[in-house]
Amino acid sequence: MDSITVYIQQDDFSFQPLEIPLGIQMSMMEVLKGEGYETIEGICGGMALCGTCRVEVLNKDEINLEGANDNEICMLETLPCYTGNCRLSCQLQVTEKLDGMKIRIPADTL
Amino acid sequence: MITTDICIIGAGPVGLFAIFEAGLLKMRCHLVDYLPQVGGQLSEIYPKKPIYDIPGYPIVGAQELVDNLMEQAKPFDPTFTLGERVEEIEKQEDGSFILTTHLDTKIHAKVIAIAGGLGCFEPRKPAIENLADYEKNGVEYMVLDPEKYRNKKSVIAGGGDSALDWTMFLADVAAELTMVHRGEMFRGAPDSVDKVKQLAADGKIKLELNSNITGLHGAGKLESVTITNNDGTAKDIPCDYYLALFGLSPKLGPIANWGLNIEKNAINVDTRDYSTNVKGIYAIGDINNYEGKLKLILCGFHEAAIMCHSASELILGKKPTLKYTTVNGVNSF
Repeated sequence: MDSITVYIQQDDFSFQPLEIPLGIQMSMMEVLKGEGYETIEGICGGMALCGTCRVEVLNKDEINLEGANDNEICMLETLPCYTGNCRLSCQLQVTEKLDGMKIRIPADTL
Repeated sequence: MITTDICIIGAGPVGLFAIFEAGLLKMRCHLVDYLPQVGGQLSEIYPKKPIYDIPGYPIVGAQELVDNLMEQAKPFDPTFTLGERVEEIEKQEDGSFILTTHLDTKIHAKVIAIAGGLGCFEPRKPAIENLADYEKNGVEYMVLDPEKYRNKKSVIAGGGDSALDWTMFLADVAAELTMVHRGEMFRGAPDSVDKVKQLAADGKIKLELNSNITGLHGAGKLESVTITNNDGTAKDIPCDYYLALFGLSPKLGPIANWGLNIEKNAINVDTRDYSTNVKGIYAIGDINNYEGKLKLILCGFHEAAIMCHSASELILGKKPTLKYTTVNGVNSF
C-alpha cells in the first residue's frame, strides 16, 4: 500500500476523497492545513494543547483507528463542543490505520 | 493619554522583537495585549513546549524565548497595556492615530504595528441555547473578582487548570460549589486534581463527573442549571453563578472593523514593508497575509525589521541608515 484515502464530508453531506501518500511523516492536522481547510488551525503546532485542529470521525467503529490516548482525551474533554467522535487531527498520524476514515471538519474555529 | 512612536498591538514574540528593531532606529514602542501577560500564545498555550526553528537555537523553550525577547527589548524601555483589547483606531489630521481600548485607555501613536497573531484570545463558550441571555446575569467565563462569589451558590464547568484552580480557591469562598466535568480525567496539574478530589471526598464541594451543563434557568438572572449525566439522567440545581472555564481561543475581534483589507482572517500587506492599505498601519507576524506567507516566528522577526525601517521613514521623513549592532553595539535610550 503506497497511499491511503480519507473521505471528507462536504456541505452537501457528500464525501470528497483525499488520497494521502504513506510515509510522509505528517499528521492529519498538517495534511488538512496543507489542503487549505481554514478551520483547522493547529495553533499549538501539534502538541494536543489547543484543540483547534479537532475533527469528527464519522465511522470510527468501522475502521482500524486507534483510540485517543489520555493526553488527547483530556484536551478533547475540555472543549465545549466535544462529542464522543471528536479527535484532534494533530494526533492522527498518517498511517494505513486511517485508510477509509470519514471525517467532518468543523465549519467554525473554536 | 499614553504617547509613543509605534503602538504595537499584540505582545507575542514578533511584537516583542519589533521593540528591539524600533529601538535601534530610536523609536519608542508601547504594546497592548488582551492577555494579562506578554508572550502571546507561547506563554498562554504552550510555555513549556520546545521550539526548534529559531535561528541559532537548536532548541529553545517557548517561555524561555519570550523571556529572552523581553531581555533583548529592555534597553529600549518598552511600555505595556496588558489585559486590554484595542477596540477603536481614529486617524488624526496629522496622520497619527489614537487607539482606545475596551477599558478606555487611550494611546497616541505615530504608527501602528498590528502583531496580533491569530487575534484576541477569547473564552470558549459552551453550546447552550440561551447562554447569551444570562451573560452578565450569572454566566461568566473568567474570574475577575473572587469576592463576588462569597456566600453564593456557584457551579464551575471545565476540566483544565483554570477550572481546577478556581474550584480549589472558591471552595472556601462560595456558599456551595459544584464542579461539573464532561469526563473522568482532568487536564491539569496532578496535584490540583488530587486536591479537588479530596475536597469532594471531604464534602466541601460537589463533583459531578461525566456530566454537562445543558440548561440555564431563571427570570432575568440565573437561578438554576440543568446538569445532564452522560447516561442521560438530568437534574436541576440552584445556583447564582455558572462559571464556564473551557479555556481560550483566538478570534480576530475588533481588528475586522478598522477598514483594513482582510482575507481569510488575515490582513493583506505589501511585502515591501508589510504596510496595510491604511497608511501608517502595518501588520506583521501570523496576522498578515501575502503570497508565499509562512506562519513562522522567524518570518515574523524578518517582517518586524523591515516594518521598522519603513515606519522610521514615515515618522522622520527620510530613509533611516542601516545600523549594524556589530559596529555600535546596542545603545539604550
